[in-house]
Amino acid sequence: MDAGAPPVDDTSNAASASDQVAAEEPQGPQADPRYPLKVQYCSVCTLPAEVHEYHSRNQFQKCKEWLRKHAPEHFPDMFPDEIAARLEAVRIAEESGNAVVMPGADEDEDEDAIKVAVPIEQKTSGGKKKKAAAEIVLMLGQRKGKKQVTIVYGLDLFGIKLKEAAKAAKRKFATGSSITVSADNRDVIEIQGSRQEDFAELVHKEWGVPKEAVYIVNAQKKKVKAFP
Amino acid sequence: MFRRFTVEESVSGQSAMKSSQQRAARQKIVQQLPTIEPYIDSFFPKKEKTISAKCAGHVTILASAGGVPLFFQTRDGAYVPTLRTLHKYPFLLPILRVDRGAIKHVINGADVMVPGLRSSRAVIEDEVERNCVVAVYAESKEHAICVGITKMSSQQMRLNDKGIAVESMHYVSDGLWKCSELS
Repeated sequence: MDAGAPPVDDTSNAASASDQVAAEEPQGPQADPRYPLKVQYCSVCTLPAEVHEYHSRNQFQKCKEWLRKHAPEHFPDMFPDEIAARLEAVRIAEESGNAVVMPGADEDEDEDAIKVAVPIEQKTSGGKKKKAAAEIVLMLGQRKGKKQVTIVYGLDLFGIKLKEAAKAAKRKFATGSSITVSADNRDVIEIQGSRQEDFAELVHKEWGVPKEAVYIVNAQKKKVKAFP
Repeated sequence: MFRRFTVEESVSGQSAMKSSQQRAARQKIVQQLPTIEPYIDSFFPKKEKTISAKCAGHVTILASAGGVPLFFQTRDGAYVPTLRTLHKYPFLLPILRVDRGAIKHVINGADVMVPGLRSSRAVIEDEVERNCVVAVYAESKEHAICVGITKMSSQQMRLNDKGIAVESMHYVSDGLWKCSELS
């Protein structure tokens, strides 16, 4: 083969050839180093890029940014700029005699692989400080007569183990504390006695939950911030 | 089969397999899917224990030591690779390729109907018998979208013009697909 710079009109071929790397024919029994194939999955909906056109319009909007970044080739009409940028980069790389490096695609691949490995549940429930909706709510409940219990919602949203939280409360307040299921079917912990402020303090200090994510339901049944 | 599958609700128990069970499963898989043989060590590393998870509906899922589902099985039936496995090793199962019109139904979990395979743009790439585990691919798409069991032989698919050709067991975006790790 001629080692010189390939003719210019090869650029488009080079781009499509590297797109097709994954589209190989099934192989026989010899171990083939190409396998396992590395398939790129959308970090939003977990599906391969190519089936995105079958999403509902809503879902597609959510995935659009990911597509723009990682797989514009599947939607050439929608992302003409990205395609052009890729071809341009290929051309520059070839002219300067370097190996063809796909911009974006290759660089992001590793980062992407890590993202996919994280189960979706973790993302939606929002880790610490990630999602605004994750909050801890402390409520008072009544037990027989005028005995009170403190009910804590939302610890699981911050990745705090309920069992440990219950134990910590027992230790701190020297009262009973246990994991129960609330009326709306969420796992909560229940602490004997009125411990709203104390527990809010504990949550903040022990597990580093941001102050603004902790709420108390007061006597007027209003949700107010625990740390105004 | 896995439409409503979630780890919390559908898995009744999971445990590391005994090495004898693991050997038996490995042997059975190689027997059923001969093309897997050169790669089988990456599924069943010698040192690590495969996890077997019992699920609702007499389904057992084999998962790697890290909890990634690799195969599933109904009662004592055939081991079926999950779609994520199949995307990595696309040659494991016989291939049927449906036309474009069928894609949106299949990725929503519908069974594959005969017309979807009879159109001129669909391809029956491998000849199969009835009750065979097959991978369903789609016209102009690269990756499998569904794994199912044939309800008629490929001969009959060519002769009939309606009815279920492949019963969907596992499709992209179902519960098992979404569960990238058992934990």
